[in-house]
Amino acid sequence: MTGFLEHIGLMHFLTVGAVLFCAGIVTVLARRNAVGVLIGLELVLNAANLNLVAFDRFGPAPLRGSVFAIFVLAVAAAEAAIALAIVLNVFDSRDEIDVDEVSALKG
Amino acid sequence: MLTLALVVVLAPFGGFLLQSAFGRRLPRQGDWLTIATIGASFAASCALLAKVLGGETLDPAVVAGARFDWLRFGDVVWRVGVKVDGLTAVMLFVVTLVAFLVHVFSSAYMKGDPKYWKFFAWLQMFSTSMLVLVLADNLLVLFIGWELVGLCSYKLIGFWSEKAAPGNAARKAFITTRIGDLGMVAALMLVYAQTKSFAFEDMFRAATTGSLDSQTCTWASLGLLFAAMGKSAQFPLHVWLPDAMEGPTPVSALIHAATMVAAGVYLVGRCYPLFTDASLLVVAAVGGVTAVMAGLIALAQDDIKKVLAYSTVSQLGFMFLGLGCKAWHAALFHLTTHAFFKALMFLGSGSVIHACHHEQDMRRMGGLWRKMPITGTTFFVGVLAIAGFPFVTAGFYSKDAILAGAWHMHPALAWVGLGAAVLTAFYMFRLFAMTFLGKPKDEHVFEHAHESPLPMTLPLVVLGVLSVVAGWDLVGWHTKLLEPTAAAVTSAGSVHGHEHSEVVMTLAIVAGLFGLVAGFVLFAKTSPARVAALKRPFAALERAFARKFGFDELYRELVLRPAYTLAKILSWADAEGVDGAVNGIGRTARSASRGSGWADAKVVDGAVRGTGAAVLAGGGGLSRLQSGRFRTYVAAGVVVVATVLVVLSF
Amino acid sequence: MGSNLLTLTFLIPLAGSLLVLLVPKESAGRACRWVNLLTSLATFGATLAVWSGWSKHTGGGYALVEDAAWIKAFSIRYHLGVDGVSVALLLLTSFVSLGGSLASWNIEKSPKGYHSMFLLLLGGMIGVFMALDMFLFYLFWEIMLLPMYFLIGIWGGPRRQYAAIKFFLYTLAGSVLMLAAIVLIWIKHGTFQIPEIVALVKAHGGLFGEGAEGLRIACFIAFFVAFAIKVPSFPFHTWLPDAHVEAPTPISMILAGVLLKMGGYGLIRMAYPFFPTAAATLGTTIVVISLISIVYAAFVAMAQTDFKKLVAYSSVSHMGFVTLGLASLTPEGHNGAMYMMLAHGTISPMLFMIVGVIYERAHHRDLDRFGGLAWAMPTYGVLAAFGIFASLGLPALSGFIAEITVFLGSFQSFPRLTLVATVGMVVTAAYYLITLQKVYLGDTPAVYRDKAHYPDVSRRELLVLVPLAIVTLWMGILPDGAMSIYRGDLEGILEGVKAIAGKP
Repeated sequence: MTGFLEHIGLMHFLTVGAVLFCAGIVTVLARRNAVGVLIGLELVLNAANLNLVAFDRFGPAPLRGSVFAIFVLAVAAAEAAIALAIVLNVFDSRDEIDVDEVSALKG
Repeated sequence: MLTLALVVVLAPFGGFLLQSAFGRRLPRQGDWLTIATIGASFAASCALLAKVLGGETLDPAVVAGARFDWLRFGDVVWRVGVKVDGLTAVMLFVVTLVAFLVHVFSSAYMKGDPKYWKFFAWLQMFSTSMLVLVLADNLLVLFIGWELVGLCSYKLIGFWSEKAAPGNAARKAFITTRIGDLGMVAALMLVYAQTKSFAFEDMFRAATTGSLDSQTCTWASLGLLFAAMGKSAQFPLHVWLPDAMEGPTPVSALIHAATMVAAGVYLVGRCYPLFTDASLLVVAAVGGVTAVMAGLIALAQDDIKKVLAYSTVSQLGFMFLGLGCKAWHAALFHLTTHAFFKALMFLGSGSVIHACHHEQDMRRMGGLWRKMPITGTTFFVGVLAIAGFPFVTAGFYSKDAILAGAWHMHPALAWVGLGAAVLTAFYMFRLFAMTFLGKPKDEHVFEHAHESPLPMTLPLVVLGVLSVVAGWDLVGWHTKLLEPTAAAVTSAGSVHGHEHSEVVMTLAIVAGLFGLVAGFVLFAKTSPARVAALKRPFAALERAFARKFGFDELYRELVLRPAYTLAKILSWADAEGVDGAVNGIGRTARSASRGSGWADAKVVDGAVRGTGAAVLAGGGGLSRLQSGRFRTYVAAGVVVVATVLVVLSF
Repeated sequence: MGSNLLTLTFLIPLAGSLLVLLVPKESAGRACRWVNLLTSLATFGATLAVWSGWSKHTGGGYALVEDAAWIKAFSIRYHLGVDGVSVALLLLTSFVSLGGSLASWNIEKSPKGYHSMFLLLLGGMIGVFMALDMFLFYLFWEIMLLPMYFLIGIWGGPRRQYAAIKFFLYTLAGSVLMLAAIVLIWIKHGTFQIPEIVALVKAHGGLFGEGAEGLRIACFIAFFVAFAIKVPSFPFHTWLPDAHVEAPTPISMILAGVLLKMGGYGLIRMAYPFFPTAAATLGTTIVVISLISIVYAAFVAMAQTDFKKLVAYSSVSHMGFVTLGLASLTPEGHNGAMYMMLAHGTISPMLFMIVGVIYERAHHRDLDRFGGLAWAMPTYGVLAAFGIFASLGLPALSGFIAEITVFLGSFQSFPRLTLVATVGMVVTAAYYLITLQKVYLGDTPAVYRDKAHYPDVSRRELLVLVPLAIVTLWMGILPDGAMSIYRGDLEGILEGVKAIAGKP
């Protein structure tokens, strides 16, 4: 079952990455629910990860890309923790998590 | 025979299940059902007794076949089964008989109680657990029965725990005995670590062949003794038993006089081969001290049940004294006779309390013999038996045997025992005189007093007869039941009951009679004023006795309060120390970030701010772009990045 | 590879979790809870199927194995399988979750989110118990963390945020340690497969080659701390009382019933078999930690006035037996430790439900304000007394078997320290009986006599409590039934550990 995997090249990865990235951006833009936005954000980050890992696999300098990807993972986890804490706080103080309603930063 | 043994246990267990499920809805709330099941159990144990008397023993092959593989660890198998020998047969007979009589008694005594059905259910559960304890062929199952009787004792002492006092007493009983149980757990661990078995046979074989070294045996047996001291209310763990009198009186008769408290004696008797000379000396000393101490406290109690409770503690002390002096047979003999006459007196006191509308203070009784002839007469038999009235009563023979044993081993302890015997006769007669003789002290109570109905008097009569005849070697229960077992468990050097010396017997007779006569003279023939005058020089002593030598206060200050304080301190330490450290780390991290935030704001930002001020004016216009909407920003970002990318790619 | 039963088993709750999200908003409350209940039932059925599938498997090792390449570059595989230890814990998980799902009937605050999270949690827990690839294990471990965080943080009590964040950070700290150890093993040996690593240990007498004892000890400590946080052992226990006090009743049940067991499972599955020598070296330390957990937590429990906090501390105390039994490296100790996990896994959910029942009626949990509830709510009183006696280790109930076997095992290795641990028995009896008396006995204050506000347990509540009670009784009277599920495999693991560790 692994045979066809050998034929997958860099371009395939980049395409999937691009699709993921676009899906992520669209999610971030289209969702009004803060958790949805966060999920979109994760997609974007993982699209980037995918590219990094792909370049690592096919590129000249092995492991470098993966190290970056691990960094991204760690940062993403931290970011998720903080963002979720913010979401919780927002939800507690305002009883909703619609990002359009949360506009206290308005100039 | 195995079937009979199972019937003995399973009949009351079935009774418990049925009674707790349907008891409330049955006619008469199911008391007949439970009396029938315990009756069946009694019949089965009589049959069993007859078989053992007939010389039948359980075929080892059958016993082994009936063992049940309970658990396995590696290649160790924990088997459970039943053991039937002379001791078991006697214990089964005593337990089921007293349980049966108490069931009958309760059907009148507890009448009208809102939880009548529940009371019988728990009596059944108690009987089951006690029988499990007696029939167990290994220490672990014995321990299970041991704990379960503790649970039933807790439930029954606290039967009226709508009020605070019974609840407290029940808790005290459970926790105090649980402290003793630590000894049992320690003994289990010690024995198991070396023999990988709990079965009595394996344990004893290991002890006699020396594969259990004598140091282990000593420690294990001291552990067992500690457990027995908890259950049998021996000094210094005796404090719970007097409080346990908050329970209904039939419960006191069954659990706290005849059966459960005697389980400690049974345990020591059963595990006798583990006891070394060193630990037996401790057993004897504990017994002797308890016998005298409880006797002294009993002198100054005015609650009829409290006197009986301390008397129980004292008599159990006698049994331990006997066991410690290698008078195994005498101690177990005393266990049975004591079960009869103490159950008799407790039920008698129940009859009195019932008649006097739940008055328990002896200072408000008096002259009740006339009103309650059957109760009074049977009670008097009980008093004679416990005082060891010579040649007639059962108590005389058993107590004499113990004293003879003590005389043989530790003469000093025999003198202690004699002192306790004088005390016993004296305070028991005091109780009898204050309750049944003399003039009524409270007319109101006296007016209401009446003889109890048949279900209550019948058990009294049966027990009264047994308190006399149990001393005689009737169907050969000494020669055929106890003595072979005694020979089996006590290796060389055991003192048999019949080897008494004339000196001891004379001393015992004198002690008993002296106590009785002194009691009679002082409490029946002397005017109360004169008694008061006589007592005056000993006022300090009497206060000490009345306050039970201050054990309750001692434990409150030395155990309970420190434990609570420790709990409070540890709880504080947990919240402030351990958890505080965790919170501290969090707080440090936060203040660090705040610190760098401050530096950022003042230093870095300070420089920027100058520029900022200039920009501010222009920025004011641009600020309209700030919608505060998150998505606008993202969209703007995406558009810019996309534009830049597009531009760059050309 | 044949069947995909294991994949199916953890996919069922995940599918249920998605299904809950599809429920239209208007009927959310009623529909969601039914979806939750049915999914939990299906999951329970699936674990029963796993049980029967496992028992048909012969020849030792793991049953129902599913093994496929997943991420080749890191030799990460999609590797599932169960042995007796996992089967026992899977059964416990789905059984307790079934009760938890019934106990969640009255959740009113955004039920869709709640039930979805609940099922996601269930899927994660099930995954943890069958993953044989450490990376996969880690993945499930983290999946489970998130829903728990939200379930406490959104549906919890007044200090829910504090409790949720504390829980999250504590567990994350543990996860990081575990991840570090896992990555270290991967770097040195290039595999994430648990069976492969165990085989390596067996072949070479330890990981990391000769002379790396320091590294082995460090790695063992990393694993131990990660799992001790979950167990939780002193001094990593302080998240538990807060999490329990704030969590809603069903979540407390699952937290105590299943989540704590993952710590013990991790120790049995990874920490001990991977580093036998380190485990033996640190034996005394672990025993001391367990001892402190048992006795210290019992004393702390005695000083509590919040009913739920008391039960939470009693959990810390009881789970101390698990580490005590494991440290002994004897068959009795290991079997007893595992038995304690199962016994505590059924008794403590029962106690949390008992607290929940009265909290739902009285809206407070202050021990000093209760009294005489056994008379006002008779059936409830009987069940509460049952739970309390089960927890204090009364014979014929499961807790007793666990305690006594652990004691008998650990005494063989650490006699003196074990004797000290027995003191916990008395303190436990003391605080439970004080509680029993304060809450259920004595005079009933007039408030609680009001039948309209204080009805006896409802049929639904009985449906939660009675099965737990029956299992407790069954495990107490015929312990071999539950123990025979895991005994063979657990003793196999122990043999492996002892063969390398050499002693005791």
